[in-house]
Amino acid sequence: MFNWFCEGKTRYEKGQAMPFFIALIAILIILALIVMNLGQLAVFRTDVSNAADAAALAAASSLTGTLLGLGFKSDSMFGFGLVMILAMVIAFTVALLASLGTSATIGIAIYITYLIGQYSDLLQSVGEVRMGWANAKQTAISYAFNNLGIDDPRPTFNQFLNWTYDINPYNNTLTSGEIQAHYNNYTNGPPWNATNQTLARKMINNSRSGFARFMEDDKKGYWNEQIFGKIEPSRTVPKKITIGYGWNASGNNSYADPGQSPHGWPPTPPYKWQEYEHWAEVKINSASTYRLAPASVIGGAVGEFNARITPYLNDHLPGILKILSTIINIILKFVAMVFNVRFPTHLTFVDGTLADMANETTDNMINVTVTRSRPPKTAGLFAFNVTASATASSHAFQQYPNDAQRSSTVEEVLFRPQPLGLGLFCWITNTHTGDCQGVQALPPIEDLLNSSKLNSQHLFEAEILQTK
Amino acid sequence: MKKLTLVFFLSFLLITAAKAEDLTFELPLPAGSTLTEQKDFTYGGKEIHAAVYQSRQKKAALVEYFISTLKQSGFEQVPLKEQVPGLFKFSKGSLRINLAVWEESGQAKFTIGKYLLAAGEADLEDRTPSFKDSLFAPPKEDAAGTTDLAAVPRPPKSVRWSNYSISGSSLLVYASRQSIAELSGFYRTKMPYLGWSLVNEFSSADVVRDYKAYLGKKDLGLSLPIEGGENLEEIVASAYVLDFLKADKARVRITIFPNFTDKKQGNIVQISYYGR
Repeated sequence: MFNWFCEGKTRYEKGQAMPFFIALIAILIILALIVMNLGQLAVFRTDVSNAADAAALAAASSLTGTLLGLGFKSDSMFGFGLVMILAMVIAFTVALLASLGTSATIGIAIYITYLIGQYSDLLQSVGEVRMGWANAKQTAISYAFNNLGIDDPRPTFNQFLNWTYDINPYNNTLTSGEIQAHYNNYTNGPPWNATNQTLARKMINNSRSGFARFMEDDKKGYWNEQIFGKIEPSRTVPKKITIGYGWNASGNNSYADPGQSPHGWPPTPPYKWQEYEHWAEVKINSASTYRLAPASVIGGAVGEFNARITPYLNDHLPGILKILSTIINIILKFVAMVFNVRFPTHLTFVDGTLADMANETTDNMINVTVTRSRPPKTAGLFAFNVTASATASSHAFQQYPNDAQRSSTVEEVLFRPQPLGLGLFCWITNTHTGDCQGVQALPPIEDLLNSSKLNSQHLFEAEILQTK
Repeated sequence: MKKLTLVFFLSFLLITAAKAEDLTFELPLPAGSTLTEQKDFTYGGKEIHAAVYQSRQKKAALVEYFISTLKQSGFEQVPLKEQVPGLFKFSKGSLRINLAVWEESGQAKFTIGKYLLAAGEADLEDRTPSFKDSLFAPPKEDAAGTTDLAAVPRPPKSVRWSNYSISGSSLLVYASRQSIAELSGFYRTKMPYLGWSLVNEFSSADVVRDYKAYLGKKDLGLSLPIEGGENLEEIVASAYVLDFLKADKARVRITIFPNFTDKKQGNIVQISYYGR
């Protein structure tokens, strides 16, 4: 390039290179400013993207806990159910083999208790799942805002004095001791033994930024109960949630109180927070619950049990009952009916197929979109007004959905009913020959009741699937 | 009017006399038969007189003897709707005889069951059993061979129906004459003295309502194949449940609900105990 400047020049004078260097430096400065701007932009966008990722992953992680809890509950229901089933089978069988129908009546009493317990457990789980999803969404919002680098300034000491004590800081009537005491309250909060609680609350509120209050108030702040509702078992939070926070970097009232009225509730576009110099917004779009259903795969086991016990009973029925040709059928029919669809044994999703399981977990995305807007930036070559947005999708899923080796004892029992039916038969009839030879009559009941052994098998993971 | 009353009275006497005569019919027993058990019970609203015998004769010989003897006595063999090995049915007028013949440990045994069946009346296999049948009647005194739990008091004014214990867990069923409020009050007061803490209590009415709402169903589809009892769904929705915990080592659920065989009989208390 230097040669190009020199080319065709007949005279060479000192200082002729100066314009070139000036131009070069100008270009370099411009380039540096552009790089600075682009760097700021990149950092800004990365912050937004990271916030979306963190929020989505936190929500999915929270859901793994909910799924684990469901596994616990399902195991516990089945463990409880198995004891009841055994008691009922014994009662009904004893009804036939020994004390006639009286035990059948007792079996019905156990059945009633069982139903109430299982209904109650299912409803409890439904409530826990609703709360699990609400907590996941709340967690996502919290993570998103906390990772957006929001720098909402806290009130100045003068603002604190003015708002808290109605003192005009420019009217110099305070002693230095009083100023120090007020400053201590501003920096450290109210004294631990503050008797005036109203004043103490004022101190806290007026010394923190609006964003701090927004994040610390889980009722009126980022989780506004007026919109999303309380997190409680009977309530399902909305599928789509939008919440934002806006603030001004300058001026006396540099923060907005999101729990009050400035944004207008419920928020509808155009959102009030977008009227501020700075604003951040989180949108979540996901399911609000897992569709739980009572499952009753024990019916298959009982079918197996009934098929085996019928010929046995024909041989072992008490002499008195042998004259009732249909009593075996009547009671076994009842056993089958009771144990079938009206006998919830555990929890499942919708119809209980593996496809349903996948729909409710693996394919059930939590989509978090985070947007952050900031005013024109004068650092760098040019001012730019930036609004950046990022979306992350995550899910919670079962680690080994198709791996029988890793399924729990309960799952083994549930999805392989024949061994359970045969086991029941061998155990109740005390048979050790024929098909019963070598059969472990039942899975150890202690194992089924000891949830910790089973629950360790319910493994769930969370991961981010895509980020835009 | 007096004549009409007299006719009814005489008819009643004739009918009851005939019934008594029919049921007292004594089937001549084959030689070498010994009575081992005798029991009168009701099933499907029918009173049945049954007796079990053992015999020195072979099973085939017994079958041949009974078919021949009953035919000679004017009985007809009734075909079974569903074949059951060793079971035979005979009828003469309103009297029915069900005969079961089988072998047990190489020895032939037979049961003779007698009952009355008017023309057109449904036979036993077409009848629905009832809680009013003695066969399904709950125990009137504590079931033999069962005991109360040491850790949980039995309900006042109660009869113990059963106690099933499996792997440290016990299920006990009692019938009590006391009301649900009295029974729940009893356990609320008594259990803390035995070291139990009440951790949860609820009425199943709310549970059943919410359960149906969640599943979008109007009813739970619950029914029993035994007649004469209460509406099962109402019983399930009328229960009261108390959960107790003891030093994190044992828990007990006490479920109280109306007696499903007859509400007038009081309530059922079911104790589910899980110990460690």
